[in-house]
Amino acid sequence: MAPDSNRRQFLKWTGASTIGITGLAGCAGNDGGGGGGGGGSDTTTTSSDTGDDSDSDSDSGGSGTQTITLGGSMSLSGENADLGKLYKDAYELTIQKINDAGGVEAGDGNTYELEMILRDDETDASKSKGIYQELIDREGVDYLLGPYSSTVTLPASAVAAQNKKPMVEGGGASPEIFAQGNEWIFGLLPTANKYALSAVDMAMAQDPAPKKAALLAEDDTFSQSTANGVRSKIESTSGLSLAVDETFPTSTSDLSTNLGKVRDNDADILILAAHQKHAIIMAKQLESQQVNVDMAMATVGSLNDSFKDEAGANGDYVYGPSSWAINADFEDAVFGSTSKFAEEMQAKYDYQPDYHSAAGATVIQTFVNAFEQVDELTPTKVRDAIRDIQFNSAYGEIQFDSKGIINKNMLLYQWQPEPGKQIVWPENVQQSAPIYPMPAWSER
Amino acid sequence: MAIEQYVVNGLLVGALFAAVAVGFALIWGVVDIINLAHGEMVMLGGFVSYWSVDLLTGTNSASLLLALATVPIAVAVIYVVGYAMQRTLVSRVTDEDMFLTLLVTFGLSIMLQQLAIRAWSADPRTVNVMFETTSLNVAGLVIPKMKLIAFVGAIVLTAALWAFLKLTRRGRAIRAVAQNPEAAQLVGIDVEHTRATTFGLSAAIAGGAGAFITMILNVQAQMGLIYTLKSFVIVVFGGIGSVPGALIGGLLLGAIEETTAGVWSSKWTLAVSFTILILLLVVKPSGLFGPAVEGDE
Repeated sequence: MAPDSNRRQFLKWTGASTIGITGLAGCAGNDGGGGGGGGGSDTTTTSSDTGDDSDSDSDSGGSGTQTITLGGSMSLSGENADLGKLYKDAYELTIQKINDAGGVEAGDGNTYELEMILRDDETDASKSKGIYQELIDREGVDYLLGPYSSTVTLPASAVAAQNKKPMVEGGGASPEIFAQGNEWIFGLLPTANKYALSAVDMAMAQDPAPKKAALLAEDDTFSQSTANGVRSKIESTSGLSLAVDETFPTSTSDLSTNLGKVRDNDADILILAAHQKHAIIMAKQLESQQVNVDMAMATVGSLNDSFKDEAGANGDYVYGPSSWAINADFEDAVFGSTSKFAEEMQAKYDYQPDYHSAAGATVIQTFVNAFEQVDELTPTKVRDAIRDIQFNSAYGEIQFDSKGIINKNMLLYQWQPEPGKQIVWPENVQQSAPIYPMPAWSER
Repeated sequence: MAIEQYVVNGLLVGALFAAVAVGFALIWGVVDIINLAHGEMVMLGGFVSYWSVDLLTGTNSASLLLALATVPIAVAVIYVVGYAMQRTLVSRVTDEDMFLTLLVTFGLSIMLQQLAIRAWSADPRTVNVMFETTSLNVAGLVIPKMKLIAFVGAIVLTAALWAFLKLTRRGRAIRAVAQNPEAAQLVGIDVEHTRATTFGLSAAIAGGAGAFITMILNVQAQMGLIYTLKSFVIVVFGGIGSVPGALIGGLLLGAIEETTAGVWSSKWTLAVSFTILILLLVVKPSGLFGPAVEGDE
């Protein structure tokens, strides 16, 4: 069927196609997100004047209604659009609640409404970087809402530092973000290296304790940081060795061979440092590859209802970490309490919020608290106020260490057949004891 | 784990890659277009299967028969999508510069991804096929039953396409258009309809493979790109326009990738695949089974 051609024409054609297809794939981003030009969609909450130039130390919007503009990029499409939506919804609801209650009574004596400009970065780090620069240069935004995922947050935080604008983020957990000497970034998630530690602690507290661990890690920034935390933890835990340590590309759609290694090495516990797509594949293929481990946990996406809906019974007994417990009731200045926050999110968006949502709402509240503390609204003063901030929100107690990281440890959940998702570790907050070891597939 | 297990893992998943790539090769060979939206046909086929199961059972779990019944539905629906795509949009750039066709199909892929996100969210979805036991043990090798069925299904889809091209009047018309569209037109073949049929068939086989992929792995709005890239590699492996070549190329790629993952590490799979692609382009640019081109060594 091939048309007549000679070698030179063929090579030219195929070579050009290779360059084209690879280039276009590059445009699409290695996260599998969309591509193409354009600035993507633009979500603006409340209408108002925007601030003036980027050197301005004032964020008032003129003689009319005074506003403070918060701006950022978010994964509203692309690989992480499912999680990006959680942040967008939480940002919008929190801002709406604050504005409906009369706005922000800032420390400078003025009352401000909040405005948000949130643009779609298509889960693409370079696009996100451009959006932040544009928000600062063209929209005069002084206060930055972080994007989602460590891969996107790391370069975005560099833009914040270069322009001396504070960024508060609830979606980037890689320690690398906070290891750059950047004084303008504040993170509400425990760093990725902590994500799987509570699972190892839980397993080591069981009798008999596991002897061999297996680690399967996606090759993105966040998952690699998680994996490094696991490696260090296992190295410092006596009696536990790392029998399988595999890294796989994000584009991998089949974990059979890696799970076969887990089975053949008789690993007792399995930690999957990856996102929801791979968590579902793990749950499906653990059974079909006849892998019987005492504990299987996935670091991201395994606690969402959508994980359980898709994995079905295979999702039972799977563990996942969270920095937040919906049933741990904290006071919250905007919503009233954690439970009321959850109720309002459920009522407005028809899903139960998870820690992404709670962290998103707290990003806004962190800025609001800082605005209330300063006698003059300038990026530097607001940043300094965030450094010293201390308040409670639906997410918990908020306070940052010297690197800008929230001081928080992860809780460990497990999907149990009855009564469902339960906090199983640490013991002092557990709702149910962990079902450990997980039943073998032949016994289910 | 024995190396045979890696090879079996690779062949099982490679057959699905092959079925996807056969469609890609067909459009490349007949319409002379590299369809960058081909992976999205896999995605749409997967969603057709998923939503068919959801509609009929109210859940994502299905018996084997019901799950398999969604495959022809996916094939039929995606055939219509492919036919309409060619007739309404791609036909306008068929005889234009190659980069224009790349841009148009790339734009289509982005549009389909975004529509899928709007319609069904970015959540991964899967169809759980119910078995008493999910895998077989054959000579010490673990073979998941659903993967084995998907393997057979992919081979059947590929064989059906090959038979259609070889044995039917429409298949001969497709081959005639591939060889010389002007001459085909002179003997009374409706070239535009034939090209659209080819596009539809190509999309349909990708959609059928997508239905199987939803059963053994999962489907997600942004999954298409990697299938387009793999199809490209497989087609260059097997030879442009060669259906058996694409089949062998897919099986080979699957086996090479899984053996690489097993013996070394998964992180080397893409590097190894693309290195082989480059070597093949230099040494045998027509692919392993493609028609010889002048200067082939």
